[in-house]
Amino acid sequence: MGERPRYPIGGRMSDVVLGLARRFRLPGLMARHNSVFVLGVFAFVNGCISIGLMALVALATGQPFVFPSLGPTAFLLFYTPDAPTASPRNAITGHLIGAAAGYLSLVAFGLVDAGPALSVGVSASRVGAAALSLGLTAGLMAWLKVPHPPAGATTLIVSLGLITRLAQLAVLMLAVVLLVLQGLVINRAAGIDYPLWSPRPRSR
Amino acid sequence: MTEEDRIAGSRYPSLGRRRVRSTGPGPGAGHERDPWRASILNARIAIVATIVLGQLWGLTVALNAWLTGRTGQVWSLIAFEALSFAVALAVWRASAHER
Repeated sequence: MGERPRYPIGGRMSDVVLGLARRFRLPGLMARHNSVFVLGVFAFVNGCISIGLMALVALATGQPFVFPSLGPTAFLLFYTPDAPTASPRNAITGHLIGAAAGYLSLVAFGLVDAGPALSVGVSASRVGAAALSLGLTAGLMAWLKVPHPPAGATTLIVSLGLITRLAQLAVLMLAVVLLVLQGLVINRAAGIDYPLWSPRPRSR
Repeated sequence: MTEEDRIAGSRYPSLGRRRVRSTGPGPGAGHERDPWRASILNARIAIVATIVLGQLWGLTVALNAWLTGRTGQVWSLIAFEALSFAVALAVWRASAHER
């Protein structure tokens, strides 16, 4: 029987599992850290904790501390922690660009006070706002060299009218920062050299 | 107006006639009118969140025990999971009449 691949689902999640199993002295998990089943259980537990904490903060404060694009960001932070897209710089700047582009699109098409597209339906101006927001976000992330795919969801959340107030956008950015801090703590606890801001330069 | 509302209104005149029925201590929960209610909800959420965190840790340890062939420990942990679930359910339902 062949040896299990080190990264059976791609990414470096098995390294995170190995590091945490070592830290918490769980020999069974250390030995099977690259089993697909174990990785699935880890993804489940980690997903529950990372988004559950944010949802609790949202519940306690009544503010939008949890929103759809946090999910893919959380997954990226633990699936490919050393990828440039998962670095704090890309995650925070990417979501900031997404939120700003979404709000700018709302202003440009006069939709700041309109209801969410899912409730009131999609109008011609909403089509323009959605297209402009995603275009701006993708373009700015490329020009500034800070790609972070979940930011594409953030900008649509704003341009589709789900989150439209500036105060809510500030909370949204605070939520991203809190999630990145979680990623920093868990990855560092697992012995992964997760960067404090910019991605580590790739060795050839 | 129900009897319950009348009693609440006489004890706490600032409540007025309207009783807030929504759950959760966020906006609309009525914590500005029913401060004790927000405390109950917050305590309930804190207890259940702690139990769920313990269950997730229990799940991790159970998986580790299973992978190392310690089935006795796995069964104990499954019992712990079931018991903690029952406790969480009991805490959640304990103040159901507050809804």
